[in-house]
Amino acid sequence: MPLAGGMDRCKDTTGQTQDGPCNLAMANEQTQPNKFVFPKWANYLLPAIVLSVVGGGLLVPVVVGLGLSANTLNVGYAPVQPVPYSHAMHVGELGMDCRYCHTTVDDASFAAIPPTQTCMNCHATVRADSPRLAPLVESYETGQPVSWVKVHDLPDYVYFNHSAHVNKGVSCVSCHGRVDKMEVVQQMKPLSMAWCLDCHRTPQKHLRPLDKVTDLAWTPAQLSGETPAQAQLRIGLEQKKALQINDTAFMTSCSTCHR
Amino acid sequence: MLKRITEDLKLPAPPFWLIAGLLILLSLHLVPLALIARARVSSSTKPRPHMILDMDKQAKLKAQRASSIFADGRAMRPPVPGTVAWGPGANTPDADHLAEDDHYFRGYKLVKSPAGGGTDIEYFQGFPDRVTVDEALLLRGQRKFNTYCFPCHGYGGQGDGPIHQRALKIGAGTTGWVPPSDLTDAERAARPEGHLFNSITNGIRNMAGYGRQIPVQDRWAIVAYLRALQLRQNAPPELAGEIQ
Repeated sequence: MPLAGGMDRCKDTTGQTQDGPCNLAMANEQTQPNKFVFPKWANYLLPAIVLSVVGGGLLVPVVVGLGLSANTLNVGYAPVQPVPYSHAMHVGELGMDCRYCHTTVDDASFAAIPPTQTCMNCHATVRADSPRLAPLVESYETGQPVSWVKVHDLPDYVYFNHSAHVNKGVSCVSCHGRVDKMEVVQQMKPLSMAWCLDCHRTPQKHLRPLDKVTDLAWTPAQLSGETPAQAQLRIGLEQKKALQINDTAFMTSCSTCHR
Repeated sequence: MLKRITEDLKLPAPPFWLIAGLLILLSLHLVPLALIARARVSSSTKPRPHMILDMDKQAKLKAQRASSIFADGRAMRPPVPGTVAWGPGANTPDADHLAEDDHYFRGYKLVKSPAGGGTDIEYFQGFPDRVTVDEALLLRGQRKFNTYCFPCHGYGGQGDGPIHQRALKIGAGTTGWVPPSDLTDAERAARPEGHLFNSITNGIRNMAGYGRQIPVQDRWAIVAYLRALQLRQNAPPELAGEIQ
């Protein structure tokens, strides 16, 4: 900026004119830091920016990976049901078999939610006047089904078949967890494709004798010196052979689960 | 004009706002991680988000799904009154779609009452021709008995199942609870097979019918297993060891 008024007059930053020889650089340096020179703290910017970018760069994939994983999004879904039916009481305490209500698992792809009639087999007399069973009684009288909320809801492009699994030694517990301990049914497994394939590649890690499929508390009997995992592998391999489980090529083929 | 540079080469402490900014960033990065951790350990009443909704929830009807197409909101259609399922998709072979075999499908037949007028129910003795009583049928009967009958009648069929125990325990709220029958007593043992079959199908007294829950063949398997239970219970003592 050209200096107005010659050598003997110059303006300082406050706009006041000063007398005497005017050296702008010197005057500024004495009164305040030069605004055209980076301040000293600017030395901290580079490490701070590098730290933030590297940290953020590490954080983003971690957050996306963990945040979008089926373990985070899918597991733990426990919707409120119209009737607070307790599997812990009916299955765990009373010892009823899964198939008393879910009659179709053996024969059909869909494990049927029982009709109101099944509940009324007992509840026509047991606790018939409980307010918690009111939706049931209403359904029974009107013929309209109770609006149970589906918990384990696979995408529509997956064709899961219950009968193909329970008749081949895959227990309910492998996908549904210990339902016999649940007051409110909750999704325990991710039910993601990677999770399905894990078992489709090595079914022996989960197979068990057919008469133990609905025995949710079953654990493989260990021979001496065997760990539980080894016992499971031994029994699983026996079952894999006995039940003629398909080979890995079939079990991991797209069209086995998708159409 | 020259100026001697005597500046201190040591950096001053970083300014407050820089430290504060870094600390805020540092703590902010924990927020998504904390949210993820919370989502992983807690349950939720909200369903999972769907990235591609129309792939996950396609416009097709599946078993027991709700549908707005029909007035009653069901995707599955109840059978039209007065019709029977027939053809591909029906549960029974075509030859059986009218369930004409009284013995197999009902366990009884209707006969003209000797007194004239109405009809009487006559239960069939023995098993129908198409049911072969063998070990496989008995084992199947045992499985089905332990699924459907055990809750009330108990594993041995003597009416001491856990539902009965619980009904007694919570007695106050139980109206009209009738204890389950002892299926091995003389009265039940004397009943024709067809009578037992019909009791399973349509219920009897306090017991609801299980015809919708248990297929015909399995009901006969249960009758066969029931006969085995009765035999075991009422066997003379000298045979007790031989009957399993």
